Amino acid sequence: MNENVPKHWYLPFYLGIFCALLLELWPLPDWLAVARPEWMALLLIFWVMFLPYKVGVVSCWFAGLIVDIFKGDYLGLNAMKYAVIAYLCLTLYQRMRMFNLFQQSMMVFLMLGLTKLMSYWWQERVGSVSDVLWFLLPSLVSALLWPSMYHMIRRLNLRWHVQ
Amino acid sequence: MKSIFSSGSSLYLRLLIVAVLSAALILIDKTTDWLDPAKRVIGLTTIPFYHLLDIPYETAEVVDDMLTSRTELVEMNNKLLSENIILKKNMQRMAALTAENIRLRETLGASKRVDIGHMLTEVVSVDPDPFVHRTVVDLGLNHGVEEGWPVIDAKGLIGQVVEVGYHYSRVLLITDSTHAVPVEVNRNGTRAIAVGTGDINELKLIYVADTADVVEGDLLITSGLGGKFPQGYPVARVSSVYHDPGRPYALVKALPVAELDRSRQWLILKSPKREPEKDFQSRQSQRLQAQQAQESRAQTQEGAAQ
Repeated sequence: MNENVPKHWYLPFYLGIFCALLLELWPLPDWLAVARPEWMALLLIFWVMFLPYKVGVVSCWFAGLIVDIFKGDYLGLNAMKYAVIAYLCLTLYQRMRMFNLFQQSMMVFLMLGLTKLMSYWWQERVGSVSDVLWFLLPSLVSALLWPSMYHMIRRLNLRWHVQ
Repeated sequence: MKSIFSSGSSLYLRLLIVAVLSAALILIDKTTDWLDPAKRVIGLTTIPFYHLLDIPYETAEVVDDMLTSRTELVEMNNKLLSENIILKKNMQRMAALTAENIRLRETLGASKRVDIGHMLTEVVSVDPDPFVHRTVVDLGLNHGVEEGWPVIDAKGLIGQVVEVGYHYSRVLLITDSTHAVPVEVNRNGTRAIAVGTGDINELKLIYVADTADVVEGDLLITSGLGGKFPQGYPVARVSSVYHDPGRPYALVKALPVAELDRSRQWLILKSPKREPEKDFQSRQSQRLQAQQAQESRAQTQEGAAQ
């Protein structure tokens, strides 16, 4: 509660959500789409770490619902994933802030991989999934992208005086 | 004063509520259509988004159109003209054959083939998940599309409509691993079920007996059984048949004939709604009537002869 919330934080936040949605749906050739980073999850992890009192489980859940509708998945599939990510992040953010970027990337990989397994289980319940391990590749790619993403949003926030 | 660690239990509670809510949503969405109206309304916002994502492709197309040279255009025109002549040649006898077919079916007492209407549609978006073969096309509820209607392209069966929004609908392709279509071998009518594998270039046939007459190169067409797809549309060509003595069924793989990942102009077929049970009954009654008519005709003929 004693954390002071920046004034115009919601502007870059919603802009980021819009961009992440675009990137999540951007048409890619199959061989590249297999490695598509989880943009929305990365963005949400950043914002939960940055403003844990503003962006939490429920807002991430709503972001997930939007992704579900845009992707045409069963309603709630991504929502549950992002809510769990937000929960993990909220319990870990004090530690995460102390970590260096490499350690943060490891944590990001763990969080994304874990939730991916969970949503994979759900997908298997309600539909069917391919039986190869490729589905974990996006988590790895996202973890590799985390440092640059972190720096980029940080810079933007500084420029827009959101800090 | 609250300590910064005090939000633990309420956080856990929040997660629990949200998780239960999403699980309920997934199951409701999967098993019922209660959420469809809400999804449709929210889905209205997605269409501009899909078009936004399609801008690179569309600009590429426009630029391509502008840069096509005259010789290329002439070449294409000639090619289309010759294709047109061939198609027209094939069409010439079509009317006569159709009439003959209807006459023959009537005399046999078989059910009439219904003329199937169609709508031309364009693909606007492809599912971002490479393991899910689903696309968004630009016709929806407002254009009269209904769930379950089959979709074809110029070469063969593409899939079926699985979700309908106001201005768009989602088409599940035949190669998606959740899709299956009843087919028959065009050469001899052997029936099978073609199941998607998740690979855009492969279908597999399940429950094909080891002794069944299916060979490489056979054309598979929709059999019309199951009532979802009309009979006679080409689906795939058998690419390999493997007999494993250790397995109860032959392993048959097939290559879809439609250009699933290349064509963008598709046709949605206005499939007449019918239930297999009812259809069967009406066919039985028609057959019975035809039989009676034939008998009475024979009797009158006999009477006339006497």
